[in-house]
Formats: sequence, structure tokens, C-alpha cells
Amino acid sequence: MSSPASTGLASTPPDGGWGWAVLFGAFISIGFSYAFPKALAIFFKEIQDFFGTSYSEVAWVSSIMLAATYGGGPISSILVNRFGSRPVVIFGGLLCGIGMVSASFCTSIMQLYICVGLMSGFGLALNLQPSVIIIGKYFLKRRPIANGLAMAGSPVMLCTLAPLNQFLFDNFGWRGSFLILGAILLNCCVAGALFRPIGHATGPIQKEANKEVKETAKAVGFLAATEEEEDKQCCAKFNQYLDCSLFKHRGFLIYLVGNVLMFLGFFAPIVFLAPYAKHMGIDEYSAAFLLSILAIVDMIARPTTGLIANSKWVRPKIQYFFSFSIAFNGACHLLCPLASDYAGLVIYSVFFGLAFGMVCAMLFETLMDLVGAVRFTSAVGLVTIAECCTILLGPPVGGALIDTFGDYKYMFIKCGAVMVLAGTFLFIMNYYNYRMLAKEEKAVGTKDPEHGKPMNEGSNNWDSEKMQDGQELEPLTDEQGLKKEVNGLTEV
Amino acid sequence: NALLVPRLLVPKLACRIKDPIIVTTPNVTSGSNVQLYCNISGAASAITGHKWIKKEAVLQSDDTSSHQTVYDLNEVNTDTSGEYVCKFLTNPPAEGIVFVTVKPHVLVYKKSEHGNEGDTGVLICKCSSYPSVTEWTWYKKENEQYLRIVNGTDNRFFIKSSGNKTELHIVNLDIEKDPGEYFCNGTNEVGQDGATVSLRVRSRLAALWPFLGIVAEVLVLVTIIFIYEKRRKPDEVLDDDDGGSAPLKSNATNHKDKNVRQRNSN
Repeated sequence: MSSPASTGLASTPPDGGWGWAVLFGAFISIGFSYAFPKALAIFFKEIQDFFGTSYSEVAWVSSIMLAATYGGGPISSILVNRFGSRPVVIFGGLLCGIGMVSASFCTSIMQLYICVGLMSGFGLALNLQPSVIIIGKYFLKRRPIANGLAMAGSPVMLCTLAPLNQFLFDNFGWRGSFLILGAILLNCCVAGALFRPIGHATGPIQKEANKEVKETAKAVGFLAATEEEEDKQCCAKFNQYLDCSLFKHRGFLIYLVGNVLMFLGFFAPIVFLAPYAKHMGIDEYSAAFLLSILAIVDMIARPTTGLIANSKWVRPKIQYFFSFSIAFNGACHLLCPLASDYAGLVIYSVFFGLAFGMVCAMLFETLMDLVGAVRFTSAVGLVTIAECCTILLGPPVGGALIDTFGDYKYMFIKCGAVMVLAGTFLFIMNYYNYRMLAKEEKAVGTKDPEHGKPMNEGSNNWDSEKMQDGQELEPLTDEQGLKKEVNGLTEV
Repeated sequence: NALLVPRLLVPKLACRIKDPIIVTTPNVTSGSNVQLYCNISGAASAITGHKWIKKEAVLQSDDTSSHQTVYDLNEVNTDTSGEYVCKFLTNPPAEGIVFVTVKPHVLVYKKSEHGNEGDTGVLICKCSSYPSVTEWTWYKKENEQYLRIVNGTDNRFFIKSSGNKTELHIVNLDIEKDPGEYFCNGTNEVGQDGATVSLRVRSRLAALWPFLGIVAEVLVLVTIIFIYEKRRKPDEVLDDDDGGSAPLKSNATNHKDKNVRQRNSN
């Protein structure tokens, strides 16, 4: 187990015990955040008829919701940094519930945009980020498994919500359904109640660390430290809540660029799979069944990927595994146009579901691995708002390609190419990153023999955990490295 | 008057070149493997080809110079009913029309409609046969009898009809009187047909009970979780507050930690 000081957490992640209850809460929370906007599509026809609008106007509800969920990321991160996960999730759940309940009394499509799109969407943002963050606080050794299981919430919830929504709609109409869905979303508060706080909030820790560092820097006279100190005074207050120094973090930047590129081609194939099948002459029910196959394979793939990623062979090089799954996903899309009948499409759906699950399961795990559990809070917020743009761009660009060329294969080729490119980029850049980290680790080891000793001893025993620490130690800036020293000294 | 009439007639006769006469199949109303034909006599110029057109779409075309052109129809039904135009590619072109007529085939938009109490319910029937429906009537089934509904009945029932669609709007749905079966009937020159739609009215408060039930469940669960935590808290308070020594206490049995712990506390 890594020392709490080195990971920046106040106490050791239990990797079990109450962690499983937290994982269950995260499962529910993440499930709602990802599945709810998609499951709403069942009501669109009725709402379109009721308000007399066009389909694209109603589809905006889903888009606004998705945009709010991803765009609210930084605010969510700031709130979690300040208050911790639990209050934020409970508030998010309340916000979602109130949004949907007020939506059931709406009299115009504009009001729907606000109630469902903005309010519930933002509530879901307040659910998604803290859930992912708290997994990092409760799990370390088993973190990939925990991430895989929690992310499996998305397909499970989608498979549950889709028929449930249909049932509610048949029996209560769309207004009644929204009322009941508001109550169901309140269950996110239950998930939030499970998020028992662990350790200190990260804000005060960084404050103390910074103060101590300033003093030691002056004492020891490191030039680098004093320059950073001035920078700190400028945005020290803001950095407490949202760590902008992440933009100087090599691993974070690699992840950001790779992921932003990947999301351009990530969701479009799902959106257009059923229309593509119908275009090929397959009937509506079989086309819908393709999506079900995708969801079921996805459901199994996520925890399995978590298990594989946790094994001692994969975990040290988890970034390679992630890049591989993105490239695999891209390859599936590139091969899709070769499918000429329903059987071909079924095979495509199976592999797509597998690849999709692999990527999603490791999406947050790799970020945690790169920046460490403490800075993850801010990192996830910054990453989601950057991804927000490309996620929203992806399907419309795909749709434009289909309309221009009248053929779906160009959309698949575009998505496949983008993802293979992203995967290759991440692979190469992470290879470079691993090498730099290994170099830095050696440098720290030789610079500070006292500190170096246990690390060398440890590396004999720890295997994957040691490599894990290596990732999380090195990305910290010099002053945080000094902070470790300081902690060690104070405890003497 | 006698002077006027010839003057009107004469220009007409003078400008007119004798029109070709096209004889077509007599109007078709039913059957399978029917053949539609057009025969032209007295064509103005040579025939360079033929075309069969329905609703601006070309069904068949050829470039023979025969005086007869034939179109084969598999079956006479709602989908194949309509006006079939046979076009002879002469100069100028000459056309004839074959009318394939059927009795209406009425379809409902939704077999079972739902509406909320106090809202407006809309029941829709469609018919895409040719010729289009000339008269739509609505009935409500009440105790094995069909009661005719007229536009404006009870000041709540309004009927909007067109050649291929009819809508029955029921304003301010009443949960006692309005649920039941409604029958729409469409008539055209060949015959008539109808279909049944059933209407269900949901109570305003129908969704309220599940809503309250789920809210109660959420409150109960949250309360249980918080109480459980409060009762366990005394055990964990020390661990949480004291970040430095806690790892020693709770992880003393963990070999891997020992190395680092010992170093830190030394």
C-alpha cells in the first residue's frame, strides 16, 4: 500500500469494506448520468406532437442535457474540492428531481429546455464527477476493478430505463412519466448518502503543504521554488479549488489531447447504427436489437476490462492498454462498411460493444493513474469541459457526412480514422511519458538517498503498487516532492 | 344570337386539328392480374414511345411504335388504386387516363389512445385509397349501440375531416363519460369502410401515487444510511481526525506499509 503522504490523501484507501457500498452508490449515480439523456428519447415523439415542433427541436433537449452534464464538470470539481463528494451528489440529486418534476408541468418547449436540459443536466453533472472522484479515494489496489464496475452502471441503467420509460409512458403519458422519473432521480440522493467522507478535504492539505513548502524553499534556497511561489500568490486562491497547474502536467496534457480527439468519433456510430441498419433494409425491431446486443456486451466488457486492467501485467502499463482499446474501437468502425448483411452487423455490434466497454471502463482510471487521486478532482472537471465540445460535434458532423455523400460508410471511416489516430497518438506519447517518468524517478532516487531507500526496498515487494506510486509521485511538481520530504521530517 | 354562336364555333373548329382518340380500359375496381391498356387512333404524328405515369412517377416506359400500350397490375387494392396516365410520345404527346378505384380502406393512427383528464383527446383515422373519401362519420359505442357524433356535439366534440384523414377532438376529457370505443366510417363513390379506436382517460392524480411512494422510499433509505453512520461514527472518529497516526493503527498488520511507516516515524 502506498503511503498516504505520497498519494496526497489523508488516509489510506481501504480498498474494500465501506468502499463496496460507495461503489454501489457510484454505480447508480454514473448510471443515471450517462443513461438518462439517452433513455429520454422515448418521449420525444409524443412531446413533438404535443407542442407541434420539429424533431430536431425536441432532440435539442437531449443535447442541452448532455452539454450541461459535461460543461458543468469544472463547477462540480470546484464544489467537490470545497465541500467533498457527499453534499454535492445529494444536491445534484435534488436538482435533477426538481428539474424533472417541474418539467412535468411545462407548457412550452423552451421551458422543457430549461427544466430538463439545464436543471436536470447540471444535476447529473453534480452526480457524475463526485462519483468518479470518490472511487479514487476509496480504492487504490483494486481501483481499475472498481472503475470498471462503476462504469458498468451506464449500460445496466440504460437497459433498465428504456423499457421502464416505455411502460411509464404507456400508463401515465409523458407528464406523469416525468413526475415519476423525477422521483426516481431522487435516488441519486441515496447514492450520495452512501458517499461517506474519507480523510481530510484536499483543500486544507494543499494550503498547509504550500505554506510549508514556501518556508523550506526559502531555507534551502531553490530558485525554482521561489518562482513558483510568486505564481502561487497570483492564483493561489483559485488553485485551491481548481488546480490549473494541471495544464503544465505532461501526462494530463497527453490525456486531454488524446481524449478530445477520440470523442470526435466516439458516439456517432451508436447514434447512426440503427438508421444504418434500416438503410440496409433491416426491419426496425432487428435494428433496435443491434443496440441491445451492444449494451449487453458493453455491460459484460466493463467489469472484465477492470479485472484485466487490475492484473499485475497490465496495471503498470495501463496507458498502453487504453490506447490499444481506442485503436481497436477505431478498427471496428473502419471494418464496419464491409458488413453486407444482418449477420455482419451483429458481429460488428458485438465487437463495438466490447471496444466501447473497454474504453469507457478505463476512461477515468487512466486519468487517475496519470495525475493521482488528489489532483484528479480538478483534472476530471477540466477534461469534461474540453470533451464537451467534441462530444457535441461528433454526431452532427457524422450526420453531415451522411447527408453530403448519401452513404453511411464515410461516417464510419471518419470515426474509425479519428479513433485510430487518437489511439496511436496516446500510445506514442505515453511511451515517451513512461520513459520520462522512469528518468525522473531515477533522478529523485539519486538526489535524495534518504528518501530513495524505502522506494528501492519497496520496489522488490510492491510490483504494481510501486509502479502505481511512481506514476503518482513523479507528476507532482518539485515543491510537492519537497512536501513529501517535509512530511517525513515532521514525523521524525 | 344565331350570329354569335357560329362565330364562337368557327374559330374553335378552324384551330382544331383532329385530336387523337384514345380508348382505355374501363374503370377498374377489383381483381388480380389486371391489364390496363390504351389504344390510340388518329395520332397526329409518328409514335416514338409510350410511358405510364402515376402521381408524377414514371412506372413504365418503352420506345416502340405500337398503337397500343399495356400496363400489368398484380392486384387492385388500396396501394395500387389511383389515376394511371398512359402517354403516347407523339408530337404533340397524347394522354389517356385509367381510373383504378377501390372502396376505402380505413386505418387508425393508434388503436388505443390515451388522454389525461381535462386535456383534449384526439382520435385519428386515415385512408389513402383512391378516390378519396367524400364523407366521414364518427360514432361512439354505447351499450352495443352506435351513437352518431356530429361536429359540435355537447360543445366538446369537434370533427376535422379531409379527403384522406379525419380527426375527432374531444375537449376537456371526462373520466366518467368519455372512455370507450369510437368508430370512424369513411365513404366514397365505390363503397365504405370503418375502424375502431378505443379511448382511455387517465386520472389527473394517477402519477401522483407512484411519485409519493418513491419519494418516501428515498427518504427512508437516506435516513437509514445516516443513522447507521452515526452509530458507527464513534469507532471511526479517531481514525479520520488523526491522519498521521491512523495508518499505523489501522494498517499495522499490513506488511507492505510497515517499511514506509517505520521510515516516516523514524
